[in-house]
Amino acid sequence: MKAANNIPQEEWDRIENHILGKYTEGEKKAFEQELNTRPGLRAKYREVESWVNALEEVTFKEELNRFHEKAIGPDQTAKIRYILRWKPLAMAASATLILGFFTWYFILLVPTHEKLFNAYYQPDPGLPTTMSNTAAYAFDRGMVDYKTGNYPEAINRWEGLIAEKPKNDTLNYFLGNAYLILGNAEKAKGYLENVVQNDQGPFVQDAAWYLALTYLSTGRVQDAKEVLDKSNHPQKKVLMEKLGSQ
Amino acid sequence: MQKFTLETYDQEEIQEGIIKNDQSVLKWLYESQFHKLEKYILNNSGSSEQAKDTYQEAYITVWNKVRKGAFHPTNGTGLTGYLYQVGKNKWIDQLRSVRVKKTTDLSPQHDRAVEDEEDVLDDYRVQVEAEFKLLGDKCREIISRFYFKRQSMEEIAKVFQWTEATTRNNKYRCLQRLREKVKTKIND
Repeated sequence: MKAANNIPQEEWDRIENHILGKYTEGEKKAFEQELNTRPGLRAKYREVESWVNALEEVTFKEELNRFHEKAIGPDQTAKIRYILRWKPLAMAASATLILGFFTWYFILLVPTHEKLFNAYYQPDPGLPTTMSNTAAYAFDRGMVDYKTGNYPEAINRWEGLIAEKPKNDTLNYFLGNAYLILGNAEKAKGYLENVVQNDQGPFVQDAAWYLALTYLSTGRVQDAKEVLDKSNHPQKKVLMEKLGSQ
Repeated sequence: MQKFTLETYDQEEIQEGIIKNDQSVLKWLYESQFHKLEKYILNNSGSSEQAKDTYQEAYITVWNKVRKGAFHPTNGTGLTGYLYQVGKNKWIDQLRSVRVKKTTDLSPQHDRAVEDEEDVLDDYRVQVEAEFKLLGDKCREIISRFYFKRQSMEEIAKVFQWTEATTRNNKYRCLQRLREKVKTKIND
């Protein structure tokens, strides 16, 4: 962070109005023109912008701490201990009621394929990365993004690579997984199908598992059953039995 | 979009709530997903305090992604699964970084520049957070109402029973104080 600029109040407010989208179209255009022509304004803009971002985050974090204190913090634990000590009957009755409600909700309202997806889906944790200076660097860099949760960036890097190697099973497999984590079942399906249809390589069985779950997430139970057959996942048998009963 | 198991908000509602900083949605998401990650961290050499810190970091990452439009789930588990995965990865990285510090730095030179830049940014955020906590109650409340709750000057003025002009001036003064303190700390 560079040394702070001297930014008068009026100027701060004007810059902030632009950052926070408070201007009308006309005001926005006029401000942007000024931003491009007035020397020094852009540096001030960058500073205000980094402050706005930091303040949004800091105030948000304060809020998270309040959530935590109220719902999860020591006060709540103490309260629960008190209830457990003095009101066991009330607790038991409440638990029964809550359990009854959830059972009713779970059984009657949620489609089974969604329940199964939720019960069996655990994202692939990714491959170990060595961060070497070899040709595999671009793939590894994407894997670092994947493992740090920056899935859109991982996808961006790998889709650049797969254009040159459309049949590469590793790329297809992890692109499918990255899209599945992001909830884009349509894209995930395409990449995972590429791996399974190829029918060779080390990722086929894992891809079959995730493809089955992708199908499940969109309600394609029959397709899920068929592809699950190619998987060697430890929970394959149990899931197959559950699907068989549908 | 279908409602997901036991959730009281669907994906669209969660995303909209995040974009608008809707406190009931943010609170629900926070509470409903915390214990899942806490369990994972407690089972993997972590403490409750570390689980809280890691979860909050992950939560902020997801919050930023959604607000910037960089996240588009299409099924019922996208966002909550993503939150868990980000938290899990952050914890794995934390464990790994402790191990790496104890052994040797294997990262190539060209990555260090990016990491150094991120470190500088993190230091700045840490200073802002530390100095923000030391501000007076009123300053913290004005800033929080403006930047987190996105309240207008008119709304904030009503709360403090000030005029809008006074509210605007006070907010600026609070920011100036904070900027000065952070600047002093960073230059020390």
